[in-house]
Amino acid sequence: MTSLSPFQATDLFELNPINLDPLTENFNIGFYLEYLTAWPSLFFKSSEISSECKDIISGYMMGKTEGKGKDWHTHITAVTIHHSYRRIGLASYLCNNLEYITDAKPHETRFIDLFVRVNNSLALHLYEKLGYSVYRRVVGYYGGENEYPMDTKTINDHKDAFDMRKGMKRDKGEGTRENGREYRVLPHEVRF
Amino acid sequence: MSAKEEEIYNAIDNGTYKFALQQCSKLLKKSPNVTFYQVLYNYILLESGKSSECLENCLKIMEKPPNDIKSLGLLNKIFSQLGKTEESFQVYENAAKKYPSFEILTHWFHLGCETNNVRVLQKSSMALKSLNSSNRLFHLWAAFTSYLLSISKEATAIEKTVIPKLGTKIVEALKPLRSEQEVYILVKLLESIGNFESVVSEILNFTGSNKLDLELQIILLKTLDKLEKYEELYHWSLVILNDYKLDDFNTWKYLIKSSLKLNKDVENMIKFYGTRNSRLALIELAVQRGESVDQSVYQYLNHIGCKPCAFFDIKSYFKYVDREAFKKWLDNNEILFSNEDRDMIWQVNVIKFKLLINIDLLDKDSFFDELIIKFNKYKHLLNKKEKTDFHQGDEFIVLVIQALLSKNFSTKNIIISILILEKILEKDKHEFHLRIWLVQLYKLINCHTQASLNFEKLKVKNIQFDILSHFLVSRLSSSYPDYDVLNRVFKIYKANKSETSYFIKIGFNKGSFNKLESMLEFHWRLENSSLKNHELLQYNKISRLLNNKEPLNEISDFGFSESYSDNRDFKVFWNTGVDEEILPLKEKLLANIPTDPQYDKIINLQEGLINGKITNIENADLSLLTDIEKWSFRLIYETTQLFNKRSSIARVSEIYRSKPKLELNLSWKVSHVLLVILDTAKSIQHIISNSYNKISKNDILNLKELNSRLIEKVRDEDILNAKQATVAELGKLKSQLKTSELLSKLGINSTHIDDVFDIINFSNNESFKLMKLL
Repeated sequence: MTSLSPFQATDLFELNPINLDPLTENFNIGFYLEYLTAWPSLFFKSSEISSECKDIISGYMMGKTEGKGKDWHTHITAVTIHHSYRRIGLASYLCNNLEYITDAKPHETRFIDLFVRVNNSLALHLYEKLGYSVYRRVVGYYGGENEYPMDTKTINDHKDAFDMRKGMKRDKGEGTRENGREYRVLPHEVRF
Repeated sequence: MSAKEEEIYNAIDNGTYKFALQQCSKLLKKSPNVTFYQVLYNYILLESGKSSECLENCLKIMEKPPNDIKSLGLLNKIFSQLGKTEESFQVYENAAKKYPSFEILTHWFHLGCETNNVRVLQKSSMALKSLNSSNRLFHLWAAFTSYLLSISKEATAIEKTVIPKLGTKIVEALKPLRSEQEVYILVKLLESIGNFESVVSEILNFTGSNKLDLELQIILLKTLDKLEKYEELYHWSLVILNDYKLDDFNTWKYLIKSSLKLNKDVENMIKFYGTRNSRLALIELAVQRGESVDQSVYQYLNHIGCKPCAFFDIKSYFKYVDREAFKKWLDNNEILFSNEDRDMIWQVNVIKFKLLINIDLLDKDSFFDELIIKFNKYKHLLNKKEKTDFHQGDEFIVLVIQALLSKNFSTKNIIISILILEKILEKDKHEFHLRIWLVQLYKLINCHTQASLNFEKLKVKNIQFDILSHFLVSRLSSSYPDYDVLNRVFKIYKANKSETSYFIKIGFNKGSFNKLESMLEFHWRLENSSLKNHELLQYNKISRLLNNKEPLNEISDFGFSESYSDNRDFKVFWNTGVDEEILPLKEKLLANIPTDPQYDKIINLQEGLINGKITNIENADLSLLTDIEKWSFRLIYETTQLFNKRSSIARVSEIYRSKPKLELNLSWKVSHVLLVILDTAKSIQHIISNSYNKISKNDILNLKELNSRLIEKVRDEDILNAKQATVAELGKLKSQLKTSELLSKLGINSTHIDDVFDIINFSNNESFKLMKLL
C-alpha cells in the first residue's frame, strides 16, 4: 500500500532497514540537507501503512537538476528500496515520478541520467526496462580519489560506471547515443 | 582578534586566570569604554569560577546593550554557560531594539537557527522585514516563522492566535505568489487559523491548469476530506490516479471514501487497475463498506503472496480478517506458486501468518521442527543468489532462534544461536538482521570485542551512529571501557552542530520552506539525543576508569540534556518474523541496554554527586539500575553525605559490606559488576580528594582503607575467579554441544563449534585483560 510523499530531514532517523543494505550509500548529514534545500521537490519517499498505523518508509529518491543548455538535465543521485518491498516495481515507481515531475514546469529538463556500476546487472536491467540506455562508460568512477585513472584504456567492471540516460520530450534523441558502452570518458568529464 | 586578545584566550584555555585578568585589566585601563573588554573581563571571571560576580556585572552591561557583534556573541555565550537561557537571547533582542542594523539582526536570526528557537526566528525576521521592506525573502521569513511559532509547544495563547493571522497578512500582501513554496507558507498559516476553505482555493488558484506539486497535492486532498467536500475529493483523486498516473494508496483511500459518500461505483474501476495498490484498495473498500475482507485478501495473496511485502500488507488489515477461515485457507493453499524462489517466499509468509495468528507456536516442538525442515529445504537457494541480495529463507533461522530462546533463555541456547548465526553469515555476510542479533547475543555473553567486530561489518556511518550504536555502546564503561568507539560515534553530534545549523540557514536563504520545520526538528533531536546523553556519561566514567581526562576536552561543548529525544532504533531488531517485539523475550534479550532514557537521568545525578555539583537527591528512583548500580549509587550518596556531616563512617562501611555478590557465569554481568565496583571505588577516591568539606582524619583513613580493600579484591581475586569460571563453563558447554541434535540437523559440524568457542573464549579473555589493567 504505497503512497508518495516529500522526504523530510527527520525521515533520516527511520532509514535503517533501507540504508543497512550493502549497496546503499549512507551520506553525511550535509549531503542530504543540501538536496533537501536545493531541490526540495526532487527528494521524495514511498511509504507503507503499518499495522500500528505508523508509516514505514519503503524507498526513497534523491534527485537534482543541473547543467546548462543542451546539458540541462535531471540526475538521479540515489534510488533505493527496503528489502521487503523489492520486486514489486517500487524503484520504477520512484523513477517514473521523478521523470514526470522534471519533465514538467518549472524544471523541463532535456534528459534524465544516472550512474550505475558496470557489474550491477540487476540495476542495469531495471533501467533498460524503464527506457534508459548507456550513454558512456565512466572509467574509474567508483575507484575513489586515490585510484584516479590515467586514461580510459584499462577498464574494470567493479570500478567503472555506465552513465545511463533517457531523453525527455524536448531532447529529441540528442541526449542518447548508440554504442554508448564503447564510448569511454574519465570521471572529471562527467561533472556539470 | 588582536594579538592581546588571543593571548588572553590562550591564558583562559591554560587555566592561568590571574594572568588573563591582569592582561584584560591593562586593556580596560587603556580603553575603559570598550564594551568588549568589559565582557571579556567577566568571561575570565566566569571561567575562573566566579559565576555570581560575572552574572551581576553582565546583567548591568545588558541594560545598556552593546552594539558590536563580538560583545553580543560573548555575552550570549556567558549567559548560556550560566544557564540563563532567557538572558542569552535577550542580549540580542535589546541590541536589536536599540541598534537595528542588518548585521545585528542577521546574527540574531542565525542564533535562532542554531538554537532551534522559533520565537527568536520570528522576532528577528519581523525586524529584518521592517528594516528592509523591499526584500521579498524577509517577508516570507517573517510569515513562515510566524507559522512555526504558532505551532510550537512553547507558544502562548496570543502567539497561537494572533501571530498566524499576522503571518497570513504578510504573505497575502505579497500576492501574486510566485512559487509552490510561497503557497505552502500561506496554506500552513491558513490551516493554523482554521481557514480551510481558503487552503483549497489558494492551492487551486495557484496551480491553475498545471500539475499539482506533491506537497500541495497532499494538503489539498487532506483538506477536502476534512471539509467533507466529496465531489471535489472524488474529482481530484481521479485526476491524480488517472491523469497523473500516480498509483498512490492514500489517494485510493480518498477515492473510495468519496465514491461511497456519493454513491458512485468504484469497484469496477479498482478491478480495472490490477496493481498491488489496487488489490489492496479492494480490501480497503470492503473495510469501508463494513463487509468481510476475506475474499479480497485471498485474491491479493493469489497474486502477491510470493512477495515479501505480502505479509506486511495483509498484517495491516489483520484485525478485519476471519482468522479461523484464513488458517484453513492457508492449509488448503500450501502450494500456491510453482517457481522455487516464489514458493520459498510464500512458505516464509505462511509461517509468519501462522505465528501471527498464534504466537504461542514459538513454544511448540512441531513448529520448531517445521522451521528446520523448511530452512533445510530452501537453503541451497542461498548459494544461487547475488551476494548482496536478500535470502528470505533466513527468516526461518531467525524464528528458530526466537523459538529456542523463548523456550529457555539459557547461556547454552544463546551459544547455540550464535553458532547458527555465524554459520549462516558465512554465506550471507550482508544480512544485517542476523548481524545485529549476533552483536547483541555476543554482548550478552561478555564478548564485547566480538560484538564490536560484527558491528564494524554493518558499516555503520553518519546518522546511523545515533540510531544503531546502542547495541554496542550501551553501558560501555562497564562492558569494555574504551574511548575509540565513543569518539567515532560522537562525531555525528559534532557534525549536527555545524552542518545542520548551516543548512537551516541555507534553507531559509533558498526559500525551501516545506523542509525547514523538519530540519529544525532533526537538529533538535540530534542535539538532545538520549544516546548522546548516555555517551557523555560513558565518557565521564571511562575517563575515571582509565585515569585519562584528555578525551573529555573533545566533548566539552556538549552538555547533558534534560529534555531528550530517544532516536534509537529498536524496531530493526524485530523487523523479521512477525515484525514485532516478542515481549517475554525482549527484556532478557536486551537486558544490558538501558531502554528507558530515564536511566541516564539517574546516572547523571550520580555524576553530579561525585563532582559535588549536587548534594540532594530527593526521591531518586533507582528501579532502572542493576543491583550493583543501585549499590554504587547508595555508596556514593552516603559518602557525599558523610562529607556533608549527614552520615557516619559506620553507615558507609555497612554499605561497603552489603555489596551484591558476583555471580560467576558466562554473562555480561560479570564485567558489568566488576567494572561498576572499580568505577565506584575511583569515584570515592575523587570525592575524598576534591571535597571542600573536611571530615575527621580517622574517617578519611577508614574510608581509604575500605576503598583500597574493595579495589584489591577485584584486582587480585574476582577477575581471576571470573576468568577461571568462564573457561570452565565454556569447556562444559562445548562438550555438550558437540553432540547437539539440533546443530547436526542444521549441518553445523564439530570444527565450526570449536572455532566459535575459540572466539568466545578469546573475546571474554580480552575483557578480563582490560580489567586487569585498570
